[in-house]
Formats: sequence, C-alpha cells, structure tokens
Amino acid sequence: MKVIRKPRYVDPSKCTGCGLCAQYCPVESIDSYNAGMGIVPGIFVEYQQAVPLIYTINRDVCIGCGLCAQYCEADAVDYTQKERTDVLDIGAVIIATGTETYDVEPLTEYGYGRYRNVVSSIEFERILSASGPFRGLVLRPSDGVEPKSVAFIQCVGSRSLVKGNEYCSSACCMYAVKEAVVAKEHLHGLDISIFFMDIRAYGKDFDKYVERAKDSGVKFIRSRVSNIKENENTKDLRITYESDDGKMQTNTFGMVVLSHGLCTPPSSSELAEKLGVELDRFGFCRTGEFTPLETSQPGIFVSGTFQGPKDIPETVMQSSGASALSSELLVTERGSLITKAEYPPKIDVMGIGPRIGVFVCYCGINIGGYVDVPAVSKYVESLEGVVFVDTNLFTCSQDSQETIKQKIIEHKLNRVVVASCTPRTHEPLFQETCESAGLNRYLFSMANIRDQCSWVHMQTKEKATEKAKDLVRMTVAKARLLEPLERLTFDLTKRGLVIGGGLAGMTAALGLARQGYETILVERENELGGNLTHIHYTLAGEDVQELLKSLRKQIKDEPKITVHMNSEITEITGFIGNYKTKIKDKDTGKESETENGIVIVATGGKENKPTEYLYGKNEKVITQQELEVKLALNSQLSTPKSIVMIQCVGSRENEKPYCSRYCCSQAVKNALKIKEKFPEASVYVLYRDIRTYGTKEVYYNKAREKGILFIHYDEDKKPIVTEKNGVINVVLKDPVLKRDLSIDCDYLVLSPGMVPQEDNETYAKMLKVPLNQDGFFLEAHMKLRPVDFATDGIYMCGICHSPKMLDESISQANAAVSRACTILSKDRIQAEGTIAHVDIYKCAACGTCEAVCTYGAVKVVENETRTGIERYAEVTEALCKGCGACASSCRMSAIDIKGYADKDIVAMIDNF
Amino acid sequence: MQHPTNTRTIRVLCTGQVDPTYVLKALKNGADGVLVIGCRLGECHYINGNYQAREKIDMTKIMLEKAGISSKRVEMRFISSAEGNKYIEAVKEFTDTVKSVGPSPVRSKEKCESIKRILDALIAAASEFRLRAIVAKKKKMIEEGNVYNEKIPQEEIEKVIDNAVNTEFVRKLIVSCLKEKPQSCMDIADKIEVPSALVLSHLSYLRRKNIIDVDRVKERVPYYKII
Amino acid sequence: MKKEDMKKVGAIAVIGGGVGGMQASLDLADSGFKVYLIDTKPSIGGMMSQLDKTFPTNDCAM
Repeated sequence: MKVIRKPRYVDPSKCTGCGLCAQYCPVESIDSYNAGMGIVPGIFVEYQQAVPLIYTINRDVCIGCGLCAQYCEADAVDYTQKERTDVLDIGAVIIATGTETYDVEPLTEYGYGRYRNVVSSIEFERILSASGPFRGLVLRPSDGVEPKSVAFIQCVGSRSLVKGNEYCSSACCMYAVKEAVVAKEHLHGLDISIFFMDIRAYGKDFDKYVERAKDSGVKFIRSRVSNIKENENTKDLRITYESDDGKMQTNTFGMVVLSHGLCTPPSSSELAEKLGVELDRFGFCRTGEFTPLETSQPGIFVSGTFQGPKDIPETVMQSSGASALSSELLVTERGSLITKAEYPPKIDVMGIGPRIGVFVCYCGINIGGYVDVPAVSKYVESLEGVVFVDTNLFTCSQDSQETIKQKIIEHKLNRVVVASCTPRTHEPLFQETCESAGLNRYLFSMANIRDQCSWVHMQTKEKATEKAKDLVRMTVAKARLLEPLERLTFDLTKRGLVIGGGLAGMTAALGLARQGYETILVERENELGGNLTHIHYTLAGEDVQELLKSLRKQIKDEPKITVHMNSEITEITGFIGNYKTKIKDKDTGKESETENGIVIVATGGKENKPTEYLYGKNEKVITQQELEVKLALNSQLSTPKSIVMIQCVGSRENEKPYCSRYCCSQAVKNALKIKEKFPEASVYVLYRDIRTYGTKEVYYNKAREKGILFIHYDEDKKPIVTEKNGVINVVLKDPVLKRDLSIDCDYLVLSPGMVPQEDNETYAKMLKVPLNQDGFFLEAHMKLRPVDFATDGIYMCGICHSPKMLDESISQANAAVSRACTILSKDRIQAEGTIAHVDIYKCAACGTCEAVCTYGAVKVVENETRTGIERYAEVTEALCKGCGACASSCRMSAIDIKGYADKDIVAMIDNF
Repeated sequence: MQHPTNTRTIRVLCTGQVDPTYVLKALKNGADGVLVIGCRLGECHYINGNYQAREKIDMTKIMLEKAGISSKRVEMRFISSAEGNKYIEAVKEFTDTVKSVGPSPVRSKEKCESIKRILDALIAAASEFRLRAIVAKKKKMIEEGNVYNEKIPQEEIEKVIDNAVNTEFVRKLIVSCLKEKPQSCMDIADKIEVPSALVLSHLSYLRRKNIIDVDRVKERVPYYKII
Repeated sequence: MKKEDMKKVGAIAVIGGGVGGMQASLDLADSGFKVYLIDTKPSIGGMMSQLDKTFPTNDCAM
C-alpha cells in the first residue's frame, strides 16, 4: 500500500509543542476545529490536547515569511520537507474514515448562513465547550448575549426523500438531547424546545437520558418545521411549524440549532475506489447483514460511521471487531513485526542513602511564564538528599530523556523527581526513562507545578512560585523514602470461555478459535442458536436459518471449540489469565472443570411475554416473534384481511423503561412480509416513535409506500383492545383526525420487546460484575468500553449487553474476541507494582479489608505457619488495583500500598 | 525655491527609519497630512531603505482607509537631493491634495475624541510585531521568494497585510474601549461601529490571548474587562 | 493486495484516526501486530475530539 505523507514542515522529533511559533505567525485562518467560529494561525495544532502535540504549517494560508523558524527554540521548523510516498508492507486494512456532518447551507428554509443565530449542532457543541470559541460562555453569535431560549430542529438533511439523505443519521436525537441538557446546566432557566418527528433513543439507557431531559424541563415538540424567519432588530428567530394536531403554529427563540446528520465525504468514495471497495447508494461502505465488518474486498475491513451512521459505542465495537477479523487473517504472523523494549541491568540501590536528582520543567512558557523556575531550582538544591538539580525547557522532550538518563549515570542518582505537569499523562514516560538508565521505575516521583501552580495562579506569580517550591519539597521528602518495587508477572491459560451459544456466543467462540485459542462454549439449551432459532429473514431479506445452519456446522468442524450443551456454570473463581470454571451437565448432573484465561459473557435475552391486549386469552393475539414463525412456515396463517401491530407493549414504561431497539425494524420487516404474501391485507402499525435508525429508515419508507399505515399514539392514550364474537377490535384516538379510530382485525401482533435472561443475575454474582437497572450487563464505560467489564479479562457481547440487531451482535462478538486477544496473546500478565501489602504479624484478621475491597482482591485466609495455624488477610496481587481502601480501613495499620505507603504520604504531609 | 509655509520638516537619515507610528502620531497631533520623501528608488544611500519605507507607507495608507481616514493624507515621494524643483513641486502638489481633503478631523471639536481613539488604535496596531515582520519581508518574498523558494504574488501578500491590518485595528479599538470601563459586546459594537458578530469573534480571540476577561455577566449580558 | 500466494505480513493499516481507528489500532498493537495509523489531519481524534461532553455521564470527550 502506498501512503502519501504530507509535509508538516515541522520536524516531529524536535517540536515540543510549546506554541511560540504560533504566537508570531502573521497569517490567520478559519478554525475548522471550532467549526469555523474562531481563528487559528498558519502554524497550528488543532487543540491543546492534540496527539501528537506537534505543530503543522497550513500551506494553504502560509506565505512563507519564515518567522516561525526564526522563533522556534527547538529548531524544529523545516521548510524543505516534501510530500513523500511511503510504501507499507501490510497484511490487512481497516477503513475507519468516518463521516462528516451534512452541509445545511443549501437548506434555505432554515436560514443557516443568513441568520447568525441559526447554528449547526457541531457549532453549538463548540459553543458549549470550555475550549470553544466563547471559552465556555454560551452566547448568541449575533450579539454575544446569552440566549433566553434555544430551539433544536431534528432531522436536518436526514430522513428526507426531497432534501438531504433518506436514511436516519442515528446519532442526532441523542446528541441534541445531550446538548440541551448541557446547555441548561450552563444557563440556568434556559428554555429549550426540541422539534422532532420521532425521538430515536433506541440505544442502551438512551430513553432514561431523554426522560431526565424532560424532567429538567426540555420540551419535546412532535412537529414538522416549515420555516424560520429572523427578526431584524432583535435577531430572534420565529419558527413556523405544523404541530401534532395538524395546526400551523409559530414560536420565537433566541437561537436555533440545526441537528444535521452524517454523510460520507467525497474523499471516502475516492479512497473506496483506490482500494476497490464497493459503496452502497448512500456512499457508505457496502457490507453484508451477516458480515457487517467486511468490505467487498477480502482483507479490507470497515468500522464506524463509514459503514453506516451510528453512535460512538457502536463505532468502538465495530472497530474492535474489525481488529479481530484482520488479525484473524494474519494469525500466523502475530508478533512477527513488533519490537520489545530492552532494559539494562538494574542498579542496586539498597543500603545507599538517597541521591536524588530533580528536573524542573519550564514547559515553554506554560510553567516558566508564571513560576520562577530558576528560583525553584535553586531552592531545591538546599533540600536534604538532593545531589543534582537541572532545568529543562521541556522535560518531556526526547532530548531531555537522554539528559535525564545521562545524569542518572553520571551522578549515580538513585531517586528521580520531575517537577512539571501531571503524572496521569507523563509519569509512564519518565518511568521508562528511569528504567532505561537501569533505575527501578518506582524510584521516581512527580510534582505537578503546572496544573497546580502556573495554570491556576497566573495572576499571582510569587505565590505560584512559593507553592511550586512547597510541592517539590513534599515530593522530594517522599522520594527519600521510595523503595524499588517489582511488578509481578504471572502465567496465563491461553484458553477462552464463552457463556451462551446464541449468535453472539457462537461468533465469539469461532473468533477465538480462529485466533488460535482453545475455547469452551457453554449453552443452557440442547441446541446452539438462541434467539436465532426464531428468526427467519432479515429486513433486507437474508435467510437467517441458513446462517444458523452454517454457524452450527462451523462450530462442529472447529477442533479448537469444545461445546457443553444443556449445561450451566456453577462456579467461576480466579482472576484474569487464570479462571477456574465448573460446568454442570443439566442432564447427568456431572460436573467438569476447566481453566480459562478470559471469559466472554453472551447469555442473550428473550422476547418478553405480554400480559396486556388479550395476549394469552385470544389465539389471534400474538407476538412479532410468533408472527414471524407463522409467516415463515407458510401454512400457519390463514389469509388475513386486516392486521394491527402495536409497538412498545410493556416497553418504555414503568417496569421496563428501556427501548428494545429492534422491534420497530422487526414490525416493518414483518409488515412488509405480510404485504408480500397477502397484498390485499391492510396492515396498521400503532407506534410511539418509529425507531428505524440508520439505513433501516429505507424500509420504513418502503412500508409506507406499500400502503402500510403507521399511526402514532401517546403513552397515556394507549389503544383499547376488545373482542366481540371472535373479532378483535382496536380503538385509538387519532390526534391528526381528532376522532376515534376503530379497526377490526384478524390478527393483533404485539411488540413486547426483549428481556434479559434470568441467569444474568447468577452470572453477575459469580463473576463479580454489575448489571444495570434493567438486568442487562453493565459495561466499563458506556461510550468507550462497550465490550469490557470494569474487571479485566471478562467481556460481553450480544443481547446480554442490551437488545440489538443481528449485525450488531456479530460486531460486538468480534469485538469481544479482539479485546480477549489483547490478553490471550501475551506470554505473561504483568500486574502494577503499587499494590496492597499485608504485614501478617500485625493483621488481626478482622476482615474489614475484605469487606471494603471492591475487587475482591483481599481475603482473610487460614494458613499453617511456624507459629501454628494463623488467620490473616492475603492480597491476590493480580486483582489488586492499589486503591488503598483497605489500608485506610485497617485498624491495625497492617496494610500498606507499596510506593504510596503510610510513611510516604505522612512524609509529604509533614513537609508542606 | 519658494514653497508653502504650512510644512514642517523632520529629518531622518534614511526613510527606512520612518516608522508607521511616526506618521500616525503626527496625524494624531493634528497634522493635515504627512509627506515622506526619500531618495530615488535604486539610489538609496543605505542600499534599500526607501524600498522598506515604501512598504511601510503603503501599509499605513491601508490602515488609514480601514479607519475611515483618507489615505491621501499620507504620501511618499522619491526625489534625489539634487532635484530641488521636484521637491517643491511635490510639496505643492501634496499641500493641494490635502487641502482638497480638508482639515484634519483631529482639529474638529466633535470628532476629535473619536478620531484620536482611532489613531491610537492604529498606532497600537502598527506596533504589532506580526504586521511589522510581514511588511519587512514583503519585498523579498515578492522578488526573491519565500522560505519555500516560491515567489509570492504581490496581490496575495497584500491581501494578507490587508487582513492583518483589519484584525489588528479592530482588536486595538476594542482594547482601547475596554480600557475606559468594562463593556458588553453590543456596547463596543455601537461605539466603534463594527458589526457585533465581528466584535464577538475578536473578544473571543482576546480572551484566549489573556488580554481581556469576563468582568461579570449581568442579565445574560457578559461585560469584558482588560486584564 | 494479492491472494494467498503472497507471504502474509503481520502489519495492518488503519485508515482514519477517529475514535474507531484509535480503538482498532490499540487492540491490534496490544495483541501483537504492527499498526500503521493513517489520518489526513495533523492529529488524531476525529470528530469526537470536537465534542464537548458525552452522555449519559457528561464525561469530557477528551
């Protein structure tokens, strides 16, 4: 593959990101990072936290005056850089180029571009941001005044056959609600209305967030906006819209935010052409329903919004999934091209008094502009144990690492202190440097004189300097006491355990096996398949039973997979890399044991059984799943004249407040199937919000074209179902026609949504992982870690995480495989050195530590010692995270956190 | 060698020394016009001082136009020391031009305050490093090429200078307004007669540069102050 | 890229440095593959870096 490297005109190995060049740059350009609402110099970084923090010259605006080079202290500017083509030897490609936001300017009825106070949602996002154009003030662009009221208009450029794109952009409803909530937090009493067609809060816990927004006073107006007009004097905006009851209404707002959708940029199609990858008619990458991560080109995979509009967690899942598929392809080459860092032998520091080296950082002007760095450095020289002090323009720069290394050797330093920024981002770098000089990484400590001094005391430089001295003194006091620590490593079992043999579980098991790892697959039923056994076709018409057959066969043929059918797990003990699992055969009652390095939970879910609308009392009242089976097995449905479907049955209310995500698409799918088989039949779909997100919207439109009637009802005005002489009658108040609608039907089909499996709770307890309020497993982070549990080594996929579509289960299962491989591919697992340690001679075995430990890392054990049988607390090092909750709860002071011991902390307290 | 009595001469060794702020200060002190006279192009005793001066005066003229002051009040001529006649001609011509433009607004009672504030802003803008730097490099970039060894078209570089002058001028006006007392975006916009949306964007820039800060937000209106 | 007759290479190109590309790269690097992360912009982060906060926790998107 050939990659064109565009010149930055800045040498990345020299640039320290200090920003001096940008201060002197004479040209300014529009700040695209701030959605065009700010200005950036011609030599720039997009934002302060950018990675890499290397300046780049924007050649479109640079006039080549040479000032930046003149002022660069690191001599990093290099105007001679040329575009160059690198040829990369690669085994696979993942395309994750994403989308851009839809250009709203041509949609003239909204006045964007003409009226200053009409902004796009990405602009509003920047306005809300503390690093945005207004530095965290929420202001109207026309006059810099805080708006009294803000309107959001949904589906701008989306869900439209006339203007914009036909598909739903999937993310806009939720980002609008989020922006509304955040804006209200900024501006107390702000009046917010969201004009929408359907609120598509289809994801996990999305509806709860919408309810929270409603509770905080955000108004939701089901409507179609016809136009926006600006009042020339006040610059307020008057929105004319057609409300739910068909009336035209107007309302005036201080600002209008257009929730514009996502679309693929022209650069995506160019890239697709170069790679020979097919696109669909919307410009998204073409993928199969059962192969959502595979492009038309073998070896090239896709993830994220380039595959179709989606939210962040879906993007993350797909990306991990694509990572699994691409590495699966290259499994024989694992580890062939990576290099391991090598370290010199460790310097023995025992028995030698502290020889501390302190490095004080100017951080360009970041610290140096506000803290008197030379004064701090001079002061530090006087501290006990300090034998060397140096200052650096940037202690984190590459050449400074070399300096630190040299000085450690030259001055026989055995403790290193860096006074600079935050350890959160930079501690690992300095620890690496220490290690590369042979010094144990835990003989290092950091004082944060940037975030805690220069940044927050800019107006009082003297006090900032004094505080910096204090912080360094405290850190040096701690450093005197530091001892080398070992990071424990332990073996792991390179075998996976997958709980649940549905679509997600089967996909995960196959994935692990193809990555070269033995896998145990445990299924509670007598056959593999889970929910897949009830599904016959997809929206696009794919044959699901064929998929099921093929998966079952692949599993059977895969020698690395051992399947335990009709089984349950009775016990899982251990920790990452070393789980011990007991599996019980439900027929024979026989138990077997297995050892596993990781666990993938894929216990699935099931269709809820409705209790309302005569279900169970009248055989003509059935669920969508039952309908699908009848439709698939031709004979079971007598020619119907009229079919009514009711959505959200027992869903999105009281006990089950969540949306099950798939039911709207399922209803559309089955309705279309009915129309295909019985073109004469009337089909009515009674819904609260139609949530055919993404390109599923196309089928919703198709259904309407085919004459399927979609009728909205409110949660508090549910349909009334009665039976008279064997005929089912549905009555609904129609808000548009303002009269009761009465339909007699042959079949009443209910969409009751999905509920979690009962055994979720058992597994949650067994694995010490949490469930959410609805009984689904709770991930480590809703956005960024949608597959991981907070506990390392345990992953989830499929419906046990939350209800989802087939392709989404497949993606998430592959993602779980990818996450698992980050562990299974290791030879040994390394624990942190800063963990709890118990002095068993002090320990009273009271068990308080065991009670407070969230990770189950400390337990009171009984052991035979020289003095007889003793009870004391023992730490499982692999599980301990070093949080210190046990140490501060111990009544005997028997527990210390290594590297953050009592004496270390007290030394700091004594020294401020 | 008779010439108009209403001129006052200030000697410099080379026009290269003529700082745009000198010209602007003279105008601020009530001069109706400023004529800068240097050696003939190509005959500079200091190699290229007069070329440098020409760029600076060009920029000064742009600045005056931006500020709504006629740029005819500033002129540069290139006359050798042996061309006395030409000198007198130039002075006469310039005096006539300035006369046709009218007396300096600094001397009119009602405009005095506002025009002085504008000229102060111009002086501050002309002192900005980036403006000086780009003007200093203009000629070389057009004739010899820039750091990428590309010759920059004159229009392009003039556009950059024009933009830079404009932004610096408005920013300095805003700063001078805020020096009086904390004010809102609308207050400033009214006072300096610049659209409020543009003022807002400059206020944001100045906040980012730690030059100004929000003083208070009163009834939804933020007031800004100088740090 | 040609068919199987070519020797497999333990390196993967990830095109796009947004949240998706970053996740894929980290996973791959963490499981023993060389990764080339390619983006047209000078820094990684993609569209997510422009977001102020993310729901439901209102975590900073950075």
